[in-house]
Amino acid sequence: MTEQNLIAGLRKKDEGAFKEAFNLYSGMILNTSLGILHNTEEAEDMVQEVMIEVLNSVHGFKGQSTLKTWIYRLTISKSLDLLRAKKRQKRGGMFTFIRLKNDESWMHQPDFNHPGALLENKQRAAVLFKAIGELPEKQKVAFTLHKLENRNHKEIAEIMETSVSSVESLMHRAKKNLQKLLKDFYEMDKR
Amino acid sequence: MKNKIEPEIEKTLQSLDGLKRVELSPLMADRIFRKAMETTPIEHQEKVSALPIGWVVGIAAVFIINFSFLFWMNQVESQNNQPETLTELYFDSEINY
Repeated sequence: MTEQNLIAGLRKKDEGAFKEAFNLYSGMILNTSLGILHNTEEAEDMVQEVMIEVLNSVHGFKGQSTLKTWIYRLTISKSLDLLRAKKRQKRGGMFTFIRLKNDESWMHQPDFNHPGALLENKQRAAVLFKAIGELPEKQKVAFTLHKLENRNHKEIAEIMETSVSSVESLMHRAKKNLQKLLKDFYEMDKR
Repeated sequence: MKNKIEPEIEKTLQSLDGLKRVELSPLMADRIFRKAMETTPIEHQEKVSALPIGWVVGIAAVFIINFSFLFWMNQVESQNNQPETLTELYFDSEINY
């Protein structure tokens, strides 16, 4: 089925087209949202939410990008919305914008064990996910798309609607920040 | 200490290499499609209608309250201006003459 046929089928709410879209994009939605939300159940719910949104909003899809890129954008936007809502709920109160400079609370967050992590890497991956959780949104998205979705910088730039050089800069800053966060973590661990 | 930490950091940064992609059961497609078809008409209708109707009802309510108030004020004013007794009528006419 070509992309045009798939879009036409989705617009008609055709079950076959929906199943085809699910087979093509559900893994991509799941892995991307897993990388942002660090929670398997929420990521699975996100697949449902995004696929329903695809079916309901495909009429508004103008074809300025590929369907895949559009679905990536929907996934990222919805996952970040959920993450922000969770953070607001967690922090609560009006004084929460005041954050201590040496806030180490992220180190004590519960571990997220990615179901796809290799057994020998599970513990380290859990630490890395905690650190990724502390990155600014754009860096987190760029890093997730690169590491978990194996997207190259050009593809990430298209998904994030920015330039390749911006993505390179985001990736560079993400790595620097992660190194710093991990350094703090291991120093704290050794104390 | 720094020398001990740096290899740890590097290994941790590489811990996502070789990460297996997670996949969902294709059977979930049926469940999600059914759910989408169940919720679509109502939610769509709600989304389409909720905002404009809310605005229309709100604006209509403001207009109704304002016009009722103006109408009531006019009535009170006209009642106050009307002479009530024959004496008042007489004096009013006197003043007018």
